[in-house]
Amino acid sequence: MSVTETEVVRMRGGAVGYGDRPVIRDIDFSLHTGEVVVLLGPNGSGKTTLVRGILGLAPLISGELALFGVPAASFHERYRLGYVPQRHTVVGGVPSTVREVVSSGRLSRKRPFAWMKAPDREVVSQAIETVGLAERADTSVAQLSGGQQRRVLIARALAAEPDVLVMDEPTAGVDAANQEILAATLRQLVANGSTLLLVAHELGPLEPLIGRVVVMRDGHAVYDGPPVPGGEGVYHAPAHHHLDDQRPDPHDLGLSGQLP
Amino acid sequence: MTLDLLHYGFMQRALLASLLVGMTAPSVGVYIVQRRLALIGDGMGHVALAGVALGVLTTGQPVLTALVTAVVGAVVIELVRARGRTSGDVALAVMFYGGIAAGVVIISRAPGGTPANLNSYLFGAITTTSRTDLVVFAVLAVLVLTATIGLAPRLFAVSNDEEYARAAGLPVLGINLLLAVITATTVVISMRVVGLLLISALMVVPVATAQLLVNSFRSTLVTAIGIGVAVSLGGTTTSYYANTPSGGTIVLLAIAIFTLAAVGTSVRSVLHRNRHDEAEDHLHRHGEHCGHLAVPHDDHVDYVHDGHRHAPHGEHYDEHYDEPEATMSSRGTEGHP
Ligand SMILES: Nc1ncnc2c1ncn2[C@@H]1O[C@H](COP(=O)(O)OP(=O)(O)O)[C@@H](O)[C@H]1O
Ligand SMILES: [Mg+2]
Ligand SMILES: [Zn+2]
Ligand SMILES: [Zn+2]
Ligand SMILES: [Zn+2]
Ligand SMILES: [Zn+2]
Repeated sequence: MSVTETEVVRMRGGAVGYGDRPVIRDIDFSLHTGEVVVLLGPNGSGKTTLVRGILGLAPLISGELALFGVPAASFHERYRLGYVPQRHTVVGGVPSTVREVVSSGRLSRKRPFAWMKAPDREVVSQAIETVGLAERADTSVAQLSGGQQRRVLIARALAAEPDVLVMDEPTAGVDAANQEILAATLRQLVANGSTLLLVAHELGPLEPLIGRVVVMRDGHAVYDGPPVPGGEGVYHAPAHHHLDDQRPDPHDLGLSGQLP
Repeated sequence: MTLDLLHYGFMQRALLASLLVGMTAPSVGVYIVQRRLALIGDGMGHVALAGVALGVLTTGQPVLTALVTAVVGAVVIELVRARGRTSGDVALAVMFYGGIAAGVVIISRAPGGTPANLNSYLFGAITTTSRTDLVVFAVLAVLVLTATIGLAPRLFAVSNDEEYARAAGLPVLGINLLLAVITATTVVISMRVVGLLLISALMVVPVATAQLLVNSFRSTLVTAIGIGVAVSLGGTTTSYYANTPSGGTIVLLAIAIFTLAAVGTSVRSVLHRNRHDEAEDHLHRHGEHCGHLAVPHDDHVDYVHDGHRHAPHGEHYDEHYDEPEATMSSRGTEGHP
């Protein structure tokens, strides 16, 4: 693109994990304004961990991370990153309506004790509209299907008017009608020029929207490039394994024993 | 009915104290229930007991010592919880039982003290609220309500989804500590009329009742406060006439209302379910030209697709069944694809 393109996420040599144990290692990952990037990879390969590392929910054990050009430790404009967690429900112990849950996404833009004003309510309504739940806005989320609840979580992220939307498996375990609505929502976001980082199991109907694919495997990024037409098997081919790192490290040797 | 009970100063104070507890306990409880920690208030009551005993032993003014102990206990409880280790569960149990054990032992050292003296603190008594207590309770109640209502959106967000709140940059630990501290404060406000062992019920039961009746968080909060005020005033009044401990009376009243609401709503939902089974989301509105087979059905029209019959109902569609099926079974015989 142009020189005004900004690097939203920049991770260099990143290791992220839980406690002191890294789950993903040697990650060089960048996300630029306007990009639509999909993280692919089998279950347990570290996709969620990478996303949580970027968002500051899992500790960066080593390496560097910058968000919007600012070192993550001193980055405070968290509302610029909208997050849709890998979860299928939004139901707490007390009933809450779609509007109430989505409104909680607006808080990162509000000071304590400040009430929602008309413009805030408008943004919230717009977010609900975008995910196609306008007619259910005052329904309790507990009465919605799993797919509808996923859409509530997307609307909650949109309510902060983020510059980047990070979604962890938004379409997993969702029925066909909801898949279609979600795909339409994503198409609309892409058409509006949103920057998206999506975690997915497979590209599926999203394929035409996607500019770049990053494939995770065993905590490493083994492919980073344009989507390859004609199937995802390509990403997992041995030729791409450890594209970025030819040295066999002891951890991988240990793991490879368990792999076919 | 004559309001003869209002001629007694102790009764006026007891009723005012009840009003304060009735408002504050459910306003805190709604967040506690939201995060499925219904028993945390109980634990804080145990810890506060040690403070009560300490106050009785040293100054004869147990409210302030209870407040300090409960608040310190609450902060420790929250920090243990935030570490999220499995050992945290055991640590909390040790603290709770430590609090009650210390309370019993310390009170036995007070002049003329026996563990029986603790009864009024554990289960509530209408004769015990002093003028000073009432002033302290009123100040504390204002602080609690300022937080539970003024910061409602933040408390809701963190209680609803802590991970999301953290990603959004909200001060999650600070908000959790605040909730812990106002829970502890509410426990102390309750120590005269409701009692330390029963306060948790007044935090939880009105909320459990309200959520049977309404659909949104905001109306749950408002309804629960209404129920809380009604049962605490009603229970305190009843305990005056029936000569029973006020805390127990209040809680039994709350449970009676909960039971009534639970029975009422389950009867209603059984009746409702027989004719109401909501269909999955629709990508279009059925109508004359939508291309789906329209079948007249009693007073309305069903649209048939994918082996289902859908009838418009407000903003959504209901599943309807062929007649024999509809009479055989209420729900789900067909299953969704
Ligand atoms: N909270 C956690 N604590 C410890 N290990 C975890 C935690 N969450 C995930 N892991 C481990 O990290 C690895 C990668 O998990 P994850 O990032 O969720 O993979 P993916 O999203 O690709 O399925 C898995 O082996 C998993 O067991
Ligand atoms: Mg995952
Ligand atoms: Zn139709
Ligand atoms: Zn019908
Ligand atoms: Zn239909
Ligand atoms: Zn209906």
